Amino acid sequence: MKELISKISVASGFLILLSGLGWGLGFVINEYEILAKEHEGLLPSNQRIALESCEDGSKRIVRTFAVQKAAKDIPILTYHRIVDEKDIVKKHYINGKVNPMIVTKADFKKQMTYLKDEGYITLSLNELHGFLTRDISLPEKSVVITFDDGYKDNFIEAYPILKKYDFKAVNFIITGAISNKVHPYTPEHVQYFGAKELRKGCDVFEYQSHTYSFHKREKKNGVKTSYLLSKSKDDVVNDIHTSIFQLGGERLGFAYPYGEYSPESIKIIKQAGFKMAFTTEDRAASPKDHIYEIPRFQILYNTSLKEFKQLVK
Amino acid sequence: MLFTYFALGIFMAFVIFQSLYIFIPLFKNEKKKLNEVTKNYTFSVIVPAYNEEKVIRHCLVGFLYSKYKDAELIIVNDGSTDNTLHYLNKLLAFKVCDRKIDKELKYQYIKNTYQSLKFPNIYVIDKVNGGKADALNAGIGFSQNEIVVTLDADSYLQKHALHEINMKFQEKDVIACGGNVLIAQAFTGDIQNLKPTFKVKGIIKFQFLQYLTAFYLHKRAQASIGAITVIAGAFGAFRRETLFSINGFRKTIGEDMDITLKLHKYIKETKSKQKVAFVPTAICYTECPSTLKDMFKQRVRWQKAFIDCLVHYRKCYFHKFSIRFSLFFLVDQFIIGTLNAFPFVITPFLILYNQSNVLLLLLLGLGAVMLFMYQSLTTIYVTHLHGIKFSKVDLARIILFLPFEIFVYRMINLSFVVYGTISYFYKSQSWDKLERSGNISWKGVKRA
Repeated sequence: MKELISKISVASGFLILLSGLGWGLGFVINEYEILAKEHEGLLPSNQRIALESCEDGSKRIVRTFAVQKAAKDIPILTYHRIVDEKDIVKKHYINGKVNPMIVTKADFKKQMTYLKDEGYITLSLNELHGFLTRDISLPEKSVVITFDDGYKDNFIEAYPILKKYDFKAVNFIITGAISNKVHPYTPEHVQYFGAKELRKGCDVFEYQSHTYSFHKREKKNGVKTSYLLSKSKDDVVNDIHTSIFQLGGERLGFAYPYGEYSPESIKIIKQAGFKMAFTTEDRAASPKDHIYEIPRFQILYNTSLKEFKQLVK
Repeated sequence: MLFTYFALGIFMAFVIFQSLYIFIPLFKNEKKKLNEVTKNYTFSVIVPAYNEEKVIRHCLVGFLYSKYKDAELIIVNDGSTDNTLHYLNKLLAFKVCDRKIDKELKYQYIKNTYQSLKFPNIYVIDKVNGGKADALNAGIGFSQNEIVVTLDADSYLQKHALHEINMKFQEKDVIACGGNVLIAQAFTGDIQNLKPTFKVKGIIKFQFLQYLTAFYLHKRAQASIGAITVIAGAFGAFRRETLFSINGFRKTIGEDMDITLKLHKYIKETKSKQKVAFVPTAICYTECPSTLKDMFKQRVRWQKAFIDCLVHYRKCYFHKFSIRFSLFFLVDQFIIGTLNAFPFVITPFLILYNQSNVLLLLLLGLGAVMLFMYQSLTTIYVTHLHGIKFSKVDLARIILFLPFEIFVYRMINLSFVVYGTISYFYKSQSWDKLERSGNISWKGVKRA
């Protein structure tokens, strides 16, 4: 009898080990989408990004705010990569200086903390659109946080901070760069969101188009020119439509790669159905601005907190 | 992607076999259906000997201590170039024996046969060298008893071993039994009452644990399923008539695995309920290689023997062997045991080269490590139930040894498997006979 009990406990120990293993394996496979089929190069143009239950930016409700002093213009902040100071290595340097498009996690945190402490509200694109079209008025302390390109570090480093402060942000993603699997985070490399990370991040981020694969430049007449300007109209239209398709039809806002655009680009974006488009002109946005040329402040590596405060003032 | 599914598939198979190897041995109880002894079979214990001068005494000692009455010992001197024969004559005092020898099996010319004057149930055959299988066949031809036991020259039969085998053969369906082989170096004390010890060299610790796991877990589980893949050459028992029906031993590098496969084929062909059994209570102690170099030679030989059988019987799987046996042989032994060794050995390089699967590989590796650890602990528990009881100090030694066992010795062993597999295709017939030290110092041995 005693022997049977000890045998059963050895057997149950094994079963516990097995179920632990099974659970761990299942968890890792699911978490990192290990069984998802990864594409070589770009996400195939006929494949949507599985955003599942994520709410499209265009469907988000416009909140009503108690406005004591209405904002005349609203600062829109643009970030690219957010990297932890200790992860910054040689690869992140250009001509002896840290790539200006990288903002350190510590700086980002300070900036967000400042916004929180000062009682800023962070707007969705829908709300911004309402403001720019004079449909709604917003409190003076309003700001829009945007990220360009859809870097993985936005999810790893910025997302937890934004989430903690209950902030909203817009991520203009290059849809073709999205991976099906979730790859381990290696900050020395340029990495983009995995589909699963997009899904997890959509309580903070709304995702908008930053082209499908046209975030590139080529030399034209000796000048480096964005694909948006250098490629044929058909190619550009195709690329933009692919990005819309991959985002599940979402077409609320578009960010011009490198901030480069022409009257022709505006026409294409308009025809594609976008309601607004963003440049990189360093100004606060007001209803006086052209809705397809909305200016945004670039937050860079060397932007000091003092300068930051000035921008959002 | 294919790689990922492959890795997961192999891992799943590995988990299934690990589970079988834990649950079956844990709950199997051989004592439960003890057979009543209605017949005492007569035994012929055959010991092939090629240059075994240093160790031949071991099998003699074990045999002389054996409590079983109706048994004869036949030592086959397979053209030794050392003084084996002379030494035997000194120990046994030969007289020429004129027993009629069965000529049905093929073997090299027998020069002479002798009977001991001192121990009339011990015989020696002196023949021209022909290899182990050849020597065994000659021994079978010479033998006249109902059960043939094959024993290695360096192996000690435990005193009740033949008795236990006899018990098993009370079951009419049992045509062959594997005996339980333990590592002699890991036992100390009086030969009549040996105690296990873990205060031995690392390489012996490894083999000791490996043998315990192989015999107390794997073979017992395989026997339940009817899928014993090898009756260890060190100690096996066969009905003599069966050996004739399957034409004795095949001359190959691993005649013990080969004869086991032949038996499975025979069972399937005759569509009988006959079976190959394993008797954990029938124990013999064998000397294992005590240096890495000798272990390397032994393991490479085993691996070549395995691949040789794998290839030789390639047309038999699933129709000339039972499905269960084929599954164990191909999946557990070949895919998990051999093929899996290749990626395992190259995994560190694979990770350096391609980082995308690191996480999965690490997790599978960690899983395998935990399963191996648990298996070793189960082995200790099960052997404890079977009377191999370690002291507390030894248990602590075993626990401390487990990480080394897994990360050092198992890895070394895997590399031997890889080397053996590859070298089969280059120099399959080189034999690499083991150097034996004969360094066992049990009390009571000298008296024999």
